[in-house]
Amino acid sequence: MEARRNPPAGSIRQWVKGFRGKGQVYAMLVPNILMFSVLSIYPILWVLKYMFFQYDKVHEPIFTGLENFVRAFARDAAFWQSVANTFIYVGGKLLLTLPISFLIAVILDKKFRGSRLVQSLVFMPTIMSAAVMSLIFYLILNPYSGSLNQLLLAAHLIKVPINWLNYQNAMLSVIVVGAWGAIGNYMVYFLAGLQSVPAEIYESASLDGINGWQKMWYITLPMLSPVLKTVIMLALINSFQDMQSIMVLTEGGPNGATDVMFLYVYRMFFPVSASSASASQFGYGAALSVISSAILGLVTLLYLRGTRRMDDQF
Amino acid sequence: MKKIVSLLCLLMLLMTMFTGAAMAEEKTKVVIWSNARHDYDLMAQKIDEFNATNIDNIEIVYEVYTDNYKQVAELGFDTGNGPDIFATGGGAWDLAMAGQALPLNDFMTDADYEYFDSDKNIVESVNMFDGKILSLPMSVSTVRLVYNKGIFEKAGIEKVPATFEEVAAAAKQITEKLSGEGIYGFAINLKSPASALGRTLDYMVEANNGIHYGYNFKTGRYEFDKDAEIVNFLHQMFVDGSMFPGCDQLDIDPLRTQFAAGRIGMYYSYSAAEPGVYKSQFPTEEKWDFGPLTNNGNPVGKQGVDAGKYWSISKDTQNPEAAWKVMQFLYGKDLLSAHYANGLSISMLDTVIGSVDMPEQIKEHALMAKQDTDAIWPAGPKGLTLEGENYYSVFAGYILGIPGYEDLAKLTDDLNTRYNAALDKGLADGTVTAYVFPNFDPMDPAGTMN
Repeated sequence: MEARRNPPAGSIRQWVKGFRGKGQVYAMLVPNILMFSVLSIYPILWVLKYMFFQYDKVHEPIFTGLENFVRAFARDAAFWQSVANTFIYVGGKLLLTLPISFLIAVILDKKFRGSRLVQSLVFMPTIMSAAVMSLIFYLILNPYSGSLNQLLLAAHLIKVPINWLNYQNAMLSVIVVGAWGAIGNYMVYFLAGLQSVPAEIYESASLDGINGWQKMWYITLPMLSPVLKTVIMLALINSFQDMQSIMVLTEGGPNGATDVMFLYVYRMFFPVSASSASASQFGYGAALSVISSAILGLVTLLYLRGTRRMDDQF
Repeated sequence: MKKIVSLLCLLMLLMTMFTGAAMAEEKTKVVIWSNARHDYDLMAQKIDEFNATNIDNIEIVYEVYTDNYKQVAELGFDTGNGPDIFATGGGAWDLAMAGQALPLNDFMTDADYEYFDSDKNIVESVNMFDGKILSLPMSVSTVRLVYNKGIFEKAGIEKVPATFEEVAAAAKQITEKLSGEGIYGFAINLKSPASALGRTLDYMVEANNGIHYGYNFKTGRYEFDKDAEIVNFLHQMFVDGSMFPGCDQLDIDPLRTQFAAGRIGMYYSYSAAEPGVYKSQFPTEEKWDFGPLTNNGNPVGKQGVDAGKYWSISKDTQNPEAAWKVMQFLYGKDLLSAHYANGLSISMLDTVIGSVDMPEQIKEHALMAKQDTDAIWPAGPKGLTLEGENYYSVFAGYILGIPGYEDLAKLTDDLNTRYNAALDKGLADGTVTAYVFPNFDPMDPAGTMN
């Protein structure tokens, strides 16, 4: 009896055969692919098209070529100010979030009575809505009846209420609020990383007589480096995209002091003021979306390159 | 065989009965979308009455969307699921002007024109464009000074201030005398500059300078330098320390809660909104009233009012005749009188006002009612593609003394340049609609327009 030959690789028959065998898999993928196409691919294609148009959804789109990009790079100082603000916000938030979440993870890794409760409490802000969290912080920080000022006044630490949300202090306030919402999340990542370090390494190091700081510096941190790398990248990307809490807390104000890149872009699509004479600028917003994404992509790329070099060196 | 024939007869009888019943119950549905929640009880009651009694076999389906109303309406129209009649508030007037509203001219009779007092209330660029009537007048609202009578008494202020100088002096006096008790002379909700200056500057500059949102109808140009006197007046109160601390991050509702708590002497807000706010939203024991909107003592124009439009019929409606009958109900004397009598709106129509007793709120706050100094103004340019900060944000920066916003003359020059450039560009490519009335008289804006 002649052995049945397999169809040549890459032929249609082989593809059909493979498809038949995996029909169930493809069927399960269909909803995801559909959702991905509708919610991700289509908006991206929409943005890529309209970034070359002037479009307010009321009038017909007008093709303007590269005009939106010329405007962004040559005439829109406020956008670049929002980009600068974004870097300040991201830097400040990471400087606050990462050391604190790492420190809490190290403490919770020791497993003491009530550590689970502390872990849950620290994680809680992560599951709260950013908008609700910001509203609560508004109640805490506002200068006229905020509980922070009331507390400081009662403790005689200040004589007059501090305006935590004015031009000088607003950025610091939004950074603190952003960090408060993020610490729990990264604490969990660090904790998972710490728990994956084999106990034997610490035991043998203890036999060699190293102290706690040396353990941390020579064992924990190097062993955590893959987790750390991922955590920093996630923190970086998330912080760049933060805008919800800022929108609720300060609306990017006063006068752009806390305006960040994606909030600026958002306002091009949905002007905050209904009474403003200015219409939505979908075309320009699309161009700014592409520029903002490119900036975020570039930062991520530089970060990945930097960490790869560090990996090579160490 | 007999059985089969009997069965068929029975089946036919049942079918006839069901079809007949269905035909009898099939009504023409007219869907209405509104963004107003405050009058829901009255609307629901009146609509129930209409549904039960109308002889045209019409059934109204009334739906309220308060959040993101414009986006919801836009999505509804885009997907073919929009209403037959929609409220023009909450930004939806933009949709009406963009072609979503069905012109009402063909439905209107002479009696309707008379009822709506069309010479005064149906006005080109307000509710009529190129002669096409897109909506009809119902209620009116404008801006007044809101002041706390008790605080005025405590601070020894006897006269309600009317001019910039008087308001600034009163704010200073209150703050100097009462700030130790946490009471300040003046507040403004500058967290959202558009909301704050939209209820102060925009109205003041109409009466004070004959300019609308920075736009001069006579010249067809933006002239923000005319706003300087008013912006300086607000800035001066900030410099004096008369402003409530944290005004730069104050929203209108937190401001109202502080006013209700008796910590703010004065602020500006809408005549139609505030009585309801302090009656139900933030009930207060404080005695308060409206004062006139501030000017320099020599106003050159009438103060603008938000009026002239409320409901529009969608161009996509499948039942325009039924929709018009529902419009007659919505704008009818019975419903509008009840609305007005219950203090849910200040009627725009004299015939409605004359038909019922003066509502309690107007008896208590006389300036809630429309005054002779109030008038409909034409709409300013629509659809500007502005580059850079809008004037609300720029002026807020100056008022708050933020670094980079110190030179008001330079700021207004820049605003004029950018707004006029956007205007010229929009007029050239057809994306901006702007009216120019060379003989515009700010003392009779509607007269000029018609």
